[in-house]
Amino acid sequence: MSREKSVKVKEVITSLCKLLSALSVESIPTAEAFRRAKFNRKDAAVDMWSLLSRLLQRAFALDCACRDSKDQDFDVQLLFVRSALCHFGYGAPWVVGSRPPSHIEEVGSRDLLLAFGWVLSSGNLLDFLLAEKIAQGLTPGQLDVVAHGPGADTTVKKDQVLQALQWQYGKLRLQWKSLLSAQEERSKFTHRVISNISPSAVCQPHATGSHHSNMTSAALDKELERIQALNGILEAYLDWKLHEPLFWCWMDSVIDSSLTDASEEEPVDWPPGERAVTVRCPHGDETRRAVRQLDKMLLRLQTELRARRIEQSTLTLTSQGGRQGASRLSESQRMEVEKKVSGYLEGLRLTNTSAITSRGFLPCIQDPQPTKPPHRFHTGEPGLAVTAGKLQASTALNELREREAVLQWQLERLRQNMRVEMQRQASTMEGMVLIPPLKR
Amino acid sequence: MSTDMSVVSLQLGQCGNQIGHELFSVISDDSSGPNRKYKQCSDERFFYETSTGGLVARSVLVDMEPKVISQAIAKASKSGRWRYGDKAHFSQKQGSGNNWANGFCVHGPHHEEAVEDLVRMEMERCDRLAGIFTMMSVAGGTGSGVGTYITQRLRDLYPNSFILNQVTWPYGAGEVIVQNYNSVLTLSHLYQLSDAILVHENDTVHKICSRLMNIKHISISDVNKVIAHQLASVLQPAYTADSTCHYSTNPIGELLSSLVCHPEYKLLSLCNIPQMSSTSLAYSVFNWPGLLKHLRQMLIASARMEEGIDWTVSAPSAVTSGGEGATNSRHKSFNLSLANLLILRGKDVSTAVTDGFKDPALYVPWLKTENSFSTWTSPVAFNGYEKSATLVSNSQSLLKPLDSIVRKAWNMFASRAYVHQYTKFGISEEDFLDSFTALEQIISSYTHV
Repeated sequence: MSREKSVKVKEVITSLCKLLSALSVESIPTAEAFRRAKFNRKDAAVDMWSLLSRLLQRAFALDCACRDSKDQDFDVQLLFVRSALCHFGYGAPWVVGSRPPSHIEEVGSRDLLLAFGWVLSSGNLLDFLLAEKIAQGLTPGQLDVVAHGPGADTTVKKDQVLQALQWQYGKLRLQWKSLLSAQEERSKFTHRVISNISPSAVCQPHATGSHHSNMTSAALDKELERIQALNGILEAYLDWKLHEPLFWCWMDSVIDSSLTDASEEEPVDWPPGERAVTVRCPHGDETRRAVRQLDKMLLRLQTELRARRIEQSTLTLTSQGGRQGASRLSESQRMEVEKKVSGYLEGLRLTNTSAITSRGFLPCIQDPQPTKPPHRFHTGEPGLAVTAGKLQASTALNELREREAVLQWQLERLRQNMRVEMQRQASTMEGMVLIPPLKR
Repeated sequence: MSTDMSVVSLQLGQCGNQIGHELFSVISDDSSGPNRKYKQCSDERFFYETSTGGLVARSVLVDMEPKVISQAIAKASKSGRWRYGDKAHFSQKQGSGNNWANGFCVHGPHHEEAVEDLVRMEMERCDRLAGIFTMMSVAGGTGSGVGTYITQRLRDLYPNSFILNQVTWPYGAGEVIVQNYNSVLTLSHLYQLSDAILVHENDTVHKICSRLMNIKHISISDVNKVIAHQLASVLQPAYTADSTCHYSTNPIGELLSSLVCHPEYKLLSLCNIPQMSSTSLAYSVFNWPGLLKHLRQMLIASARMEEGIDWTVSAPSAVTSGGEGATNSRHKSFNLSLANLLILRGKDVSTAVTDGFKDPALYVPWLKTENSFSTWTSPVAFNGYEKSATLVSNSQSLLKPLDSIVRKAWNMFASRAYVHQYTKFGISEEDFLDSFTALEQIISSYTHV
C-alpha cells in the first residue's frame, strides 16, 4: 500500500515537473529531490533553492527588472526570495522573522519545499504562466512591451509607433492576399496544362480549388511545430490538474513532519521594534494546526463516504440485508450529524481565517502610498488598502470589529454547549433539579 | 507569368446601376484609342469576349425595381461596343421604399442566393480576380440596405478577395427624409466589411457640373458622367511602382496597399482635374506643373474642384523655429493626409515633377513618406483630356461631410423620428446606437490622426 502510494506520489510530482518545464521554468529538480527535500536533506536544499528563486523571478518578471540570479551573489538572492515570499504572505520564521538566516544553507530543504507549496497555491501562478506561454505561442513575433519612463510624450510616441506598425501589418496582409490570388491563378493554369497533356491523369479538383501538392512550405511546417508545442504545454497542464489533489495530500505530510520537528525548537521571541509595531497573531501556529486537523477530518470523512458508497453499491439485497440495516443511519440522525458537522466546520473556518491583522502590519492613520498595480495572477485579491504592510486605521478597525463579532458568536456557542451539558448532567443525577438563571 | 486581373463589378440600386453603366461607357470609349496594349489590358479587366467577338461587361446588376436595370441594359446594347450579360441581372417588382431596414433585413436575405449565384458566375469566369468593385448610394433603400447585405455575404464567401466599395453620398438638402439614417447604417456596417470606401458626394459633383462644366440644367446623367470619369481614371490601366514596364496586373491590390493599410482609416476621396466641358477643352492647354500645383492646394485646403480654392491654406513649413512656429503656421483648416495616390495620364507624363506631394508636412508624422505617397502613370491620354491628374486621398477631407451626416441623423434619432419604420423590419434602436458609436469612432480617429 505504501509503495503504491509512493509510486503515485512520484507520478504526481513528475507531472508537476513536466508542467513547469513546459512553462519554461528553469532548473527543475527531479521527483526524487522533492522526496529528499521532505526529509531535510542537504543536497535537496540546493535544488529546491534554485527552483524557488527561478519560480519567484518568473512570477515577478513583469514587475521588477530581475537580474539573472547567476550574476547575483547569494545574499542578494536570499533577500529577493525572502521579500518575494513575504509579499506572497508567507509567514514562516525564516522569511519574516527578526533573526533572518544570514546564509542560504541555514534554510532547510523542507522549509523551502513548504515555501514552494505556498507559492504554488497562492494566487494562480501556474495559470498565469500558462496564459503567458500561450500568448507567446499564438503570436510568435510579438514584441515585449517594456515600460519606459513616465511622461505624456512617450505614450504619444508609443501610439504613433503602434499606428505605424498597424499600417505595415495591414500592408503585409494586403500583399499576402495578392500573393494568394496569384497562387490560385497559377494552380488553375497548372491544372489546365496537366489536363491538356494527359486528361486521364487529372483528378477532380477540390471544391475550393486552391490546393497543390506542394503546399507544405516552410512557413506551414513552422506553424505546425508551434501548434504542437502549445499542445504539449496544455497536455502537461491538464495532467497536473488531474494529479494536483494528491500533491496537496503529500504536502500535508511534509507539513506534519515539519511540525513534529518544530515542536522541539524554541519559540520565537518578538522584541518590540523602535519604529514599527509588528504584531504577529499568537494563533498563527495553532491556526495552521487547526487547518490541518480540518483537512485530515475532511479527508477521513471523504474516504469514509467513499467506502460507504462502495459498500452500498456492492451489497446485494439478499445476502447482506441485515448488515445493511444496521450500518445505515436513519434519515433524521443523518441530518443531525450533518448539521453538527457543518456547524463545527463553520466555527473552525471563522476562527481560523487568517485575518489581515494576523499578518505583520504597520498601522498608520494617513493614506497609504499608492498601491503598485496588482499582480496579474492575484485576481481574487480583495481591494483593500494594504500596501507592503501598511494598514489604514479604518480598515484595521473594521477587521477588529469583525473579529469581535466572530468571538462573540463563539462565546455564545460555548455558553450554549455548557448549558446543554449542565442540563444533561443534572438530568442524570437523582434528586437534583436544575434551576436555570432568570433570563434578562 | 501573370495575366491581367479582372474586376467584377456589382451595381446596386438605382444610383449604382446608373453609375455603373456610365462607367463602362467611359471605359469602353477611353480604350478605343490607338494604343492596343492599353485596350487589351482594359478589355481583359472589365469585359470578357463572347464567341461572337462581342464584349460583355463583367458586371452584375441588382435592383428591387426593374426600370433602371432595363434602361441600363438597353443603353449598353445600343452602343454597339459592349453590352451586359444576358442573365447577369436580378430585379424584383417592388422597391425598398428608401428603407435601409427593408433592404438589409428583408430583401437582402430573401434574394441572397440568386445574387450570390450571379456573382459567382462572374468570378469563375475570371482567370484571376483583381477584386470586387461595388457601386451604391447610401441614401436609398436598395443600394444601401441590400448593397450592405450583399457585401456582407460576399465578404463571408470570399474572405481573401479585395472588396472596394464606391459609395455616393446624397445631397445635403436631399429629397429622402431618412437619407441620413440610411447613410449612417450603411457606412457603419460597410466599414467593417469593406477594404476601402471610395466616396463621391452629390453636392461636390453637382458643383463641378455647374461651375466647371457650365451645364445649365444638370441632370442625373451629367452627375453620373463626372463620377464615372473620375472612377475610370483610377481603374484604367496604369504603370505603378510595382510594374513599371507593363500595365499593373493588380490594380485594386496596389491601390489598397498604398492607401488603406490601417484598419481604422478606410475612407478615400477622389479629386480629378482638369474637369471641363468639351467645348472649353478644345481651347485649353495644360501643363503638368500647373495641374499639380492646383491639385496639391486642393488637397491641403480640402477643395474638391478647381474653382474657389483657398490659397491661403498652407502646410506648416519645416523651416519655422520649434514647435510653436509649426502650430502657428498651420492653418486651422489644413487637411492632414495619411496617404495619397497620384495618377497621371497623358502626354509627357514622365516630365511631371511630383515632389510637392512628398512634403512630410502634408502627412501624419508616424508614416514615412515612402509609405504615404505613390504615383501611377500612363502615357495614354484619358477620355479626351490631353493631360489628366487624379488624386486618391486618405485624409481628413471627408470629416466635415461625414460629421454633418451623423449630426443630422442624430438630431432625428434624438426624437426617434421615423425609427419605427426601421424597427418594424428588424433594426432595433440598439443597432442605431451601435452605428452611431462606430461612426463617432471613425470621426474621432480621423480627427486625432
